[in-house]
Amino acid sequence: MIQFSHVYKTYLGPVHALRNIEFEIDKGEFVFLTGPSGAGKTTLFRMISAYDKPSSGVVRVSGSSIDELNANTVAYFRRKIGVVFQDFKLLKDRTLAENVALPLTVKGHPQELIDQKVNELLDQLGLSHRKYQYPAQISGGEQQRVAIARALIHQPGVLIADEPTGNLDPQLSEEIMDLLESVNAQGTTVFVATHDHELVRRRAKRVIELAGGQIVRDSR
Amino acid sequence: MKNLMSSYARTWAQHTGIQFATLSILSATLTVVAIVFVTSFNVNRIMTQWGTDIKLTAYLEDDKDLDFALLEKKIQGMDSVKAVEFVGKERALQIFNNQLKDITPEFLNEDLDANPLPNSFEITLKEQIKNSESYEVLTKQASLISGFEGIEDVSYGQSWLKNYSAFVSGVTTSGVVVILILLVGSLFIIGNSIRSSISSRKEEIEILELVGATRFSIRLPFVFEGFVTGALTSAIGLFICFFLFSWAKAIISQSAVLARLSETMQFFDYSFIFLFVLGGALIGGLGSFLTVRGINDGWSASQGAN
Ligand SMILES: Nc1ncnc2c1ncn2[C@@H]1O[C@H](COP(=O)(O)OP(=O)(O)O)[C@@H](O)[C@H]1O
Ligand SMILES: [Mg+2]
Repeated sequence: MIQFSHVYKTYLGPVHALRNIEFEIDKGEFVFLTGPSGAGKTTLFRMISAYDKPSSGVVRVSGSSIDELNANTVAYFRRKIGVVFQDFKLLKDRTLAENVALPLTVKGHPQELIDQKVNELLDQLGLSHRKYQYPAQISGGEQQRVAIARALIHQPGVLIADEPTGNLDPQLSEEIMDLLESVNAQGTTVFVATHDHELVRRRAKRVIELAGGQIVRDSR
Repeated sequence: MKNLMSSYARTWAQHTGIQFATLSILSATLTVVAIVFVTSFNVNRIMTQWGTDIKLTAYLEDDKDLDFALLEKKIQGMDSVKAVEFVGKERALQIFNNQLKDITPEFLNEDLDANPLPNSFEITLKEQIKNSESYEVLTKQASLISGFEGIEDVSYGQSWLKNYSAFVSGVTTSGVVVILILLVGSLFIIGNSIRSSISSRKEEIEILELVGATRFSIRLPFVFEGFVTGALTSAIGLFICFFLFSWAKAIISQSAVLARLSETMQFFDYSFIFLFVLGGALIGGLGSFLTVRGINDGWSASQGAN
């Protein structure tokens, strides 16, 4: 599902953000990416979501080589993945239902089908009663649930989440992790970056640990 | 379409001031464009009407042996000549007397034997005088005819026709230049307003890229916005121009000298109005396309770190 081989990423400076990254995540796995701030977690995730290309080496996600994507094909690639960020990235001037619907809207699905799917998903996440509200009207934990719903509505094979609980208190963080686990239980590959060791320790999952841009541990 | 409209409405909500300024400036610009168009259009109309009246007069030498019929045939045979009419010296005097009778009857000369006027040909050319090019055709024909044996002189109101055709050319040329400048300016004005719409929606563009929106669908609302702005402002421009035109026409029709002119004056027909608004819309769409093309390359969000 996700495959890194001999991946290096060097920013101007030069900053060696990633060095010789080599790992593979299979379909249906749940994997944590840990490491202190500055270890290179976001850099790695930006390559999975095709926001950046490796300086050298190959990154393959859902059958696509990130290096080979261009301005036209990158959109179609992103329809195969779901991405969640620390800061939610919801559209402030759209209702929660409209935010969740976005991946289907851009694909041009018929509105009835979109409504039906959005209702189903918001129901599952216990957000149905809020669907006509705006992001500013709900809590951070709820916003992140909406963001996760948006990342799942188009049924991607893989969901990646970069510090999804970074802005949330411990109680809400656990709830979000529970949600991600149940998403994984339904068959979606889930890859979560976090620097919160406590969170990781409580769940017996595969952990890839980064430090200084290198993999220092893979519990596989 | 619903999405495009709501996107446009959001731009208005976010940038009421900029939108209003853009609309005002563009409307004013396109009013000037419309005025330039309507002016040169009408100058050309009037030109064409007057152009049919323009004739050459070829005066003949006072020679008893001259074969008028042969000479007439020769002139008639020229490519650019439409019609030739012989005006004998007696008729010339008659016409002259008729004109004189109205102005200074005391100088009337009834003595036909002392007729000082020459025989002549009234020559009508196929081409009308619309610009300096056709003026050149005219002078060439004139000098050709004056070279024929038996022709004393050719007259065609040289100096005023020259000024006249230069004027027409001048109006057309400066009209084209002014319109080009204003249209390029309009591209920039629209581009700028689109730029502000884009910058306030940078986050939205990032998120749309994230969820897999194509470049085309991200750009479309902005191009649509420019298209609507262009269509709207060119329609407003035409509207204002129409009022100014009607006002000018009313004033001209009051004037004793120019009243006849006002009858010839005409505003654009529907097909031109349609083309003008369409042109405005296309300029607007182009202006925003050029702007948005430089901004949304599929990786806008890669500039923002997490
Ligand atoms: N756009 C960039 N330009 C230069 N250096 C960068 C850029 N993005 C990240 N870095 C550097 O790369 C390293 C890894 O950063 P990052 O991937 O954000 O780490 P993490 O997400 O684990 O905190 C850091 O040293 C950071 O300063
Ligand atoms: Mg990070």
